[in-house]
Amino acid sequence: MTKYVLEQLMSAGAHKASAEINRTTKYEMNVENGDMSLIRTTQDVSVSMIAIKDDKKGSVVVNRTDDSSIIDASRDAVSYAEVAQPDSANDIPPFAPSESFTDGSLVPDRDGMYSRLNEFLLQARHEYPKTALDSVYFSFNCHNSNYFNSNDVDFSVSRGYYSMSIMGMGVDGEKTGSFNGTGFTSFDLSRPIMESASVRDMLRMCTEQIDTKALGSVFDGDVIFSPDCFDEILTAYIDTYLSENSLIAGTSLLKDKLGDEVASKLLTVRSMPADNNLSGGYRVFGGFKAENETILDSGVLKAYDLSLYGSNKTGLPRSKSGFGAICVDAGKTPYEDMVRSIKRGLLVCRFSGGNPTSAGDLSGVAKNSYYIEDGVIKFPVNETMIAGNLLKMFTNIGAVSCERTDFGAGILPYVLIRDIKITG
Amino acid sequence: MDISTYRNLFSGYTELRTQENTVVNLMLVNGNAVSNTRQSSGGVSARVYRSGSWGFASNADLSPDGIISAIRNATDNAVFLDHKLQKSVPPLPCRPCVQTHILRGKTPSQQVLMDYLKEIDAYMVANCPNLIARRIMLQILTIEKTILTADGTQFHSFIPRTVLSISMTTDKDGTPVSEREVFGGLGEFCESFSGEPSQLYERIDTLYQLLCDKKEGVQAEKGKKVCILDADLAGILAHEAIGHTVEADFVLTGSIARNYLGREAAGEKVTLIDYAHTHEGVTCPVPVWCDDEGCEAKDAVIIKDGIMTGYMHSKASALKFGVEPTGNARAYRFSDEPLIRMRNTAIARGSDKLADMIASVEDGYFLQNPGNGQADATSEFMFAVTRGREIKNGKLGKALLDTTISGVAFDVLKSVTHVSDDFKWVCSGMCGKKQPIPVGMGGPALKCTVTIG
Repeated sequence: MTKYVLEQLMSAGAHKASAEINRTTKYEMNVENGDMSLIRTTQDVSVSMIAIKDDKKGSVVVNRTDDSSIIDASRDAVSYAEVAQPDSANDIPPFAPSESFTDGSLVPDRDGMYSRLNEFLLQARHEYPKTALDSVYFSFNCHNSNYFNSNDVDFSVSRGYYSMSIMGMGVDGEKTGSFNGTGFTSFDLSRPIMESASVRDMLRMCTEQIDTKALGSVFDGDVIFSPDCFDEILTAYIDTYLSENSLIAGTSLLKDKLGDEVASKLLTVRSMPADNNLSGGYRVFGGFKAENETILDSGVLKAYDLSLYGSNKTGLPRSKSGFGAICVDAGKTPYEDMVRSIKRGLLVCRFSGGNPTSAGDLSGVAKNSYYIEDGVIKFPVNETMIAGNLLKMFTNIGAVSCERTDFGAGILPYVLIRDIKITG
Repeated sequence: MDISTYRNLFSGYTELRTQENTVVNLMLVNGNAVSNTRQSSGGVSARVYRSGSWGFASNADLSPDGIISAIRNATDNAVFLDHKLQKSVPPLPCRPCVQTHILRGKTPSQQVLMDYLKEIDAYMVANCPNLIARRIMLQILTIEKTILTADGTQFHSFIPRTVLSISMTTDKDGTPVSEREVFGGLGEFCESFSGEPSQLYERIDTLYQLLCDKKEGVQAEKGKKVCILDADLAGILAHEAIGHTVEADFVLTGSIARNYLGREAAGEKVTLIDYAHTHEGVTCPVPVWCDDEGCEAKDAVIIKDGIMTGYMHSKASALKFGVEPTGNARAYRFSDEPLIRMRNTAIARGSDKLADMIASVEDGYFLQNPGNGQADATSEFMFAVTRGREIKNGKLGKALLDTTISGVAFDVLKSVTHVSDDFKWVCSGMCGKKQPIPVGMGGPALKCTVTIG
């Protein structure tokens, strides 16, 4: 089928072309207000076409596979290319040997899913009665995709995995705590939901955070970011400084810093899509075979999040990994020691902030967070803001924990960052 | 397409929906066409209700076999869950809707769209010196759907939305400074941008001047301040800070709004409504005449003269609360199930004059443009503010650099002392709650106290 799509693109006049067909099946169980409410099955197909003609690029995505729809969409893709501007950076991946990949089971264990979800709901009600589950989405996802291009690149991927997303808040009488959420992916149902990723921590925190206090002061302090939260901060860092848009636009302050030490020596960040144990990984992206890659190696910048186009445009190297499945190397400091080292500061478990500026200035509310004083976690806080600059924050890393949380789509530790403005 | 014949395949409460979303995306970054795409996604879904348990199924096959398969799979899912749970919940309330609303307009060829963007880019190059980055993004989203339900709904709509966003970045001593303006709203391209690109040049000039002012801007002083929130910010306050807390599913879980029904939630000048489709005789940015579970949509009055009077409901939540459904159950794609979502959430205009409101502030800020924002069950909120000015002794002063405001929404609304007599919609918003969905948000200007920085 994918080769047929490619033939239509070339017949329509493309000089270079690629086609990707992705068939997805989802089986999902939904929980609303703490009770199972819905079973949902979806089937979809996505046909993505890219046409390049005279260095001009157009693309179309449809979810129809009948001949007439494919022919019309192919013609559209080429006609869009014809009206674009020529850009020598437009290209498709060069030839690579064909490969097929299969990961995980391609069939859901529906009874197993019901059993695990029911087990989790009973446990949650019993062990955390003051944590109200707003929504839980537990799904099995199966993707079958095939990529083909006019350089004879041919990749096929079949992947099945489970994913879970949980949102909840603490409720006690008239009192309501801040909502919190977490999630994970896995290849199987061998582990109880409660013992996966940071699920238990999240439910515990919801109950603890019903009663909060305001700090009532402004100071520069140390902040420990939880694994869930450091994922958000790291994503903001990558988007601001390493992403294609910021590099092409020229706004990234790290645009000429490949090979330079730009962050703390304590920090090593990797993208590991090809790791066989990461259910949230992937095998192919943008028509390339995904490879594991180091982004920051003991603080030294090693890679940018650039596609083939971005790489051609900027002259900088293309990302081999696609910057998904982010893993941060474990540090040497036990989490308890990190807490003990703090004179005044916060444990921040969720950050609610505006998008950083182009310079990386960041400010927002420390949600689901705790005040730390003299090495002891004192109380949950409310209406507390933190502000800083991402570039400086990443050079001010004081410690990385040896404990890490495996989310299935990434593995992250606790990270302590010094000298952050805290406003209570 | 006519799906009315499939009603005879329904066994019990069933919703059947066919839907097609089309998105055209063009983006120029520093003159480079980094996006030049059209994406279309359509299919059929069915949702079945059995005594409190739901089954949903969808597929991309719009043939009779595909539609029958969706109905059958949804029924099987509902029966399976009902067998397990045996909730024995009564039937749902209904308010059927038999209407058609086709707002089809005209979108020109990709060539014309690309030329339009290129002309704007060329104008910026020629007239906006010292920019280090410029970005022009055009998105045209159309959603066509037909809905058939067992309780009598037969509905067909075509709703388009066009949004053009222009961003400029300069730098001050090596630090990037950005400004952004958004144009467009309900309608296809030709309805939103009826003339030549030159019709936008004056506004681009204004945007450039704002950028130059912001380049010399100051940081907001951190802390609680009296602020005038302009209409754009009032709209995001209505949506983020209040709107999410009064979605009935969130209320049922335990949002703070559960404690406010019938009680003072805001200053007496504040009235907040989630409009279905019409505001002061004009169609709203995201009109909903019938929601995606086939309920005729009505305005949801949330706060009236400072008192909380209701929530936003689906059929299931309305049953639990013993009220009428409001038509707030919406789904983004054909494969999405309806969830309680906002539509056009706004604070009603008041009677105060904006100029007088600014003049009344000794030391505060006039906050004009929001960036992203987030809500919480406690009604704590946070918005980015990307444009604002100092107010000193009743006069507008220097521009502000990017900052944030936060607070507890009901406390902020209770601090509102003035509500201006003008009104503006923000037409480009997307809301995230498992699924993205277009929303409208709006309001007048408000004088209130918030935490800034």
